[in-house]
Amino acid sequence: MSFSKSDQELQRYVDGQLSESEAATFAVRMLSDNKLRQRIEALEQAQAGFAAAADVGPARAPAGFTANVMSEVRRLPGREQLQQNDMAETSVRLCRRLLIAAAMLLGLGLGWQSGLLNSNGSGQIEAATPVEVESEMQRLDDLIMKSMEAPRRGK
Amino acid sequence: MFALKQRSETSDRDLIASVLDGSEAAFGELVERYKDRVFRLLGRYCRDSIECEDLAQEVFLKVFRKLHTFNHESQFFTWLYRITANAATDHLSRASSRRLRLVEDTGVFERGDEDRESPTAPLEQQELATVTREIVASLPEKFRTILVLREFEGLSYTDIAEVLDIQLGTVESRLFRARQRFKDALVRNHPELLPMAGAVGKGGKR
Repeated sequence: MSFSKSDQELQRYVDGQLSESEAATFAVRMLSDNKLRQRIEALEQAQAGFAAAADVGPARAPAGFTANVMSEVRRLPGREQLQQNDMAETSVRLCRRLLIAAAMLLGLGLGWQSGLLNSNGSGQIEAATPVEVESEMQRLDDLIMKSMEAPRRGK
Repeated sequence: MFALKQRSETSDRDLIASVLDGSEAAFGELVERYKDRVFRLLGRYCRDSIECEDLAQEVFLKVFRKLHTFNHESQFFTWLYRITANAATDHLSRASSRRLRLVEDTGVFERGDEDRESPTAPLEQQELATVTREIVASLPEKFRTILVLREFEGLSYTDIAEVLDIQLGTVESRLFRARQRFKDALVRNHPELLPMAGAVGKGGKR
């Protein structure tokens, strides 16, 4: 579903987003271009449901809404405290992102180190063959089994 | 449509400055000014008025907590809309197991007399409205939100770009794809409504 230059112009016209002169030029073109007129009609036709749905009417805030909000606002800490909280939240968010990035880099590094992300020298990651995958899984299974055996032997 | 009106009262910028200086009344004024718009937007995502009120309260409390981070590079209402849209989509994903939908039973909301559906409104138009809401609700979140902002809230491309924090070009292409998806679903599931949509469209183009 590509979005062509002509789609863009047509949509802008229907939405009233063209400048006055652009809209006038477009309207003149429309007079002599049946296909263009049909496309506009089709677009308007499909959109007409929105006019019907919008006419159902807007929701309104109930009486006393502002008073309820204000009573909740009074329970909040002072502006200075809010700003400090915000700074703390931002720091935590930043730290979390840095940790995630570091973990991803570490994961990639470990994958590279262990040979899971082998490069064939062309800069592309080489896919392992099923046999290689199978043997790697076997190796990991063995490692897990050994690590589970070790504490038992210790007892 | 909710285009920003020229207001003679205190500007948003002055109210925000007062709130940051500790004025509670100024925040009350901001809530009063924008509560209906927030409710209207949330109403497109919530099932009932209680859910909507809880979410709206959550939105305004977040606005209060984060107001010092608003840098006036965008309009206040687009910043507020961004918080509202994020709250709505977070709420939807939190409640995805319950599969919240766009409001189908609109009767649960309070409405002004001027907004009330006409008792003589043709049944077909009501059906078209219901089908439209159902299709929009079934779209992926990013398509649903952009359709709500454009088709129901009447926001300009620039405002949508600010609310969603995306490029103008992305707004246009995403809106195009959202409309295509909407149209495909309408043609596939309710082809009988297309001629009717045309009739509404001729009289209802905004």
